[in-house]
Amino acid sequence: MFYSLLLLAYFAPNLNPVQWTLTGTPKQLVLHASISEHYKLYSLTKPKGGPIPLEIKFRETNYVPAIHPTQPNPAHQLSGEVDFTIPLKLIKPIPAEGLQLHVDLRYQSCSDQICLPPTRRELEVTLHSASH
Amino acid sequence: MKLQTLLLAATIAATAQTRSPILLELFTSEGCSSCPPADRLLESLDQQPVSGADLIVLGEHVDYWDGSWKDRFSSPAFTKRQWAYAKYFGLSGVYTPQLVVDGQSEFVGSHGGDAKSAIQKALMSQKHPVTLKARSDGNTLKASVHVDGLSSKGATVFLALAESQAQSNVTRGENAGRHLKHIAVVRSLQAIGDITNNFEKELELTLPKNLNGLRVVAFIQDKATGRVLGVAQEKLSCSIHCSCSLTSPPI
Repeated sequence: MFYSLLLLAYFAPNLNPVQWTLTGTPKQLVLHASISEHYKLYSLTKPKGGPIPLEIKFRETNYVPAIHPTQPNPAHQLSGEVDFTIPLKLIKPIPAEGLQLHVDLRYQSCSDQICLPPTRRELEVTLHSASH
Repeated sequence: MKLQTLLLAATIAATAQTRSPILLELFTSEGCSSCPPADRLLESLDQQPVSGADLIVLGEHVDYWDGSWKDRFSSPAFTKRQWAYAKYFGLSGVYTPQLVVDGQSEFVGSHGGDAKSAIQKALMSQKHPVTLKARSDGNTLKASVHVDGLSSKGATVFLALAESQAQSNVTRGENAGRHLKHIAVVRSLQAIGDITNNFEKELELTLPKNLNGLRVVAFIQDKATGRVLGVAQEKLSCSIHCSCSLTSPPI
């Protein structure tokens, strides 16, 4: 058995397999996940139990009290390049100097051979009103 | 009964002269879907497949997967220990399953090829002898650890108590519906003292209840590098509160 297990292919674990970027306008943000080869990200639709689903939270709830992000397909696990769309309904005008939004992500990712603990990331995006 | 159990004390110092003891620590979890293959690899390594090596295996269940399924063997202490290894190895994080060999090598815990390479590498380093004696008496373990003539700038002596075999029926999380088998599940791991040259300590420990066999492992770990400088094991084939018999390590 030991020697049969030797046949498993080598790969070095990537401990940061998901790269995130956040862009957008006052009407809509796009959260982009670039997921490394061999890895999968547990999506927004992942049911309870097992790895946690992707969580997206805004800190500026005085501007954005609620969000309803969507993903390109309903799969529980996503791979490759993925855009999450976050429609915005700001309840206050954007200040003249712009509005900086802070987004907190919590997510989990696995490859077919390893799993990583729940991970947190903080992202920022600055919005300006259309008149600026 | 007591006389019988008292007669079970033995030393494995002689074993160290014939095979080089190597410590393998598997960081795993019942809540991790990638982990069962690593548990199987650890079991196969426990069968001593490598010539010249006395493989001493330990399963340390981390707690960061407990959100989905509470692994009854998990402890934050093992997660903390895994993070300490991440620092030693210059890793940006932790993962499961991870196998650490002699505190020198780390790799995905299901990779048998990496295990073989790491064991061969560990065989190149000579271990310092550790004399471990242990006997159980009811729910009490009496152990002594003795080290002579080490030359170290600073190391810690650890004592691990591991349940020889354990099983769980997992009902939630990614392993839901699976019957998982574990080997050498660490139930307690404690630093019992510092060492630079010589070390002598006797301990009396209360054993966890209902153990399915017991392995006592003592090892010396360099504080600066994490490298395991010496390790010894005693196996007590016993159900605690029953009679125990000593199983000599393989020669």
